Amino acid sequence: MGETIGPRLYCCCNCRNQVSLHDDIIAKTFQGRYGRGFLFSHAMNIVVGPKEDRHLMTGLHTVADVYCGDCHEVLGWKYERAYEASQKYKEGKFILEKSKIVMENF
Amino acid sequence: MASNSIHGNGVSGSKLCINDVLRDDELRSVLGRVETEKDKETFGLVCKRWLRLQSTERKKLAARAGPHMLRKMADRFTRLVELDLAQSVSRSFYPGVTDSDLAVIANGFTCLKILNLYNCKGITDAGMKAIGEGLSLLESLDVSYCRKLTDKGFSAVAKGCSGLRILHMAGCRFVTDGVLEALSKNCRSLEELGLQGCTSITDNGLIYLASGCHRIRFLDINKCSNVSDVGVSSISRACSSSLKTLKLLDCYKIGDETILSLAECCRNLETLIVGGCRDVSADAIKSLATACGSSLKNLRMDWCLNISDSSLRCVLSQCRNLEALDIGCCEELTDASFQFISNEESALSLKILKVGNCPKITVTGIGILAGKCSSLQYLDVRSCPYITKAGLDEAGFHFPESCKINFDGSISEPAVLL
Repeated sequence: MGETIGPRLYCCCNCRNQVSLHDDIIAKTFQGRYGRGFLFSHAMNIVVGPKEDRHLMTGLHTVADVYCGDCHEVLGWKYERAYEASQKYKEGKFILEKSKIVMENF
Repeated sequence: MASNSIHGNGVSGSKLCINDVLRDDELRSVLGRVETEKDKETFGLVCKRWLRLQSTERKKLAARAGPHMLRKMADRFTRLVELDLAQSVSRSFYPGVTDSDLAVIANGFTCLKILNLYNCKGITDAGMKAIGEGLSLLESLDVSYCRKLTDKGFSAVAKGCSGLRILHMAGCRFVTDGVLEALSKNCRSLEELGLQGCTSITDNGLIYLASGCHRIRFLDINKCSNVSDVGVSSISRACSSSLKTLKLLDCYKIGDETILSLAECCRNLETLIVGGCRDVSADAIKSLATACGSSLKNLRMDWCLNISDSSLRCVLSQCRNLEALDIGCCEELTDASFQFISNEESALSLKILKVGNCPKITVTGIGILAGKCSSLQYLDVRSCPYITKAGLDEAGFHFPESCKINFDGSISEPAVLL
């Protein structure tokens, strides 16, 4: 019922720190560790953890866990590098778990 | 308080002032002996003449300044050689250098040789045109991550700055082979070129570059995934004696032909990054190690799944000056590749070793390295299921005091293999 005046934001489920914009969503059908995840082109107020090479369902990747900048809750991960050519589009982008973020209107 | 003591004995009493006696050259000579920037600034506070001398002597400036400030700086520091306006990577709200700022710079700092505009996202081809028209002595330009730039701007710089030796344009994703054509025609002295992430670059562009620029010692085409053996081989042939650093990260079309042409032509190669070039074979690496054994210092071949024990053995035994090695995710490697080292007399010169995600390497292999790499500073063993801190401690292997071991990613990596 309420009108949306500002940008739609996503916040950390734990402390409501603003971490991403709805406009930065690239895809909504990703699989996170705990369920659905969204692929974002940008994330803010987050801390990127150490890089790790992992074999995911889509092949070998370098990923880094992403934490809320305020409360350090793990929110998802960042794709640093992808082995398969078809997965390269993910490089530099973020997966935020749907269960770890809540939407807010500014 | 002897008020006459200043004049000493035998002086007639007229007050001689330094400014009357010393000429500009002599004052500059004095300034040249002043060591710290702070003291040089103090020199400039004495009087307007000394300020002019100090300002025109100033060679280098780093600043964050709008057009008004830049004009003042250009008026004062007329002989500036190096100007650093690089922006930090974090999302800054400061708008950064604009095209009109570049116009001021191009008109004011006519002696400029080095210009750093790293991450000045606001500049466009218009600003580059100003640079090309005004800064004919420019030798080094860094416009990495100035995302709006296109071939048009770079062509203008290439035509105007024919003495260009160093050019960095990582992240300028709109540039195409046209840039390389312009550089090959106009900038024959080019030595250092950074094109990381310029994904539209193809073999044709590299062939153009090779035809005109024969002095290249540093070429970074990391992530330029459209290049293949044809283009890179042309560079290795054209710049055979000068090429020292070649970065081909994730250029997955690169194969043995490139490695073999490097082995044949580039005997001065010091740094090679072929991480992610999955078609490179073990035999090609052996040929490279044999040919460039004395020069090779830094080798990154992570994600090259064909690397075998015998090829790694060849690298370690032939490349006696090797300081940094990355063989992460080379899944075929086992402890056997290190076993020969224990029979060698001399220690390995390795300072940085990354063997993350090599599931067959165990504590035994790492232990051999511990004994023979007395210069080791950083060891990365992340995601190696058989290498744990507990396991190493239990086996009693001792690494050099200053060596950091990364078991789980909590230590930051050194930048040399990036």
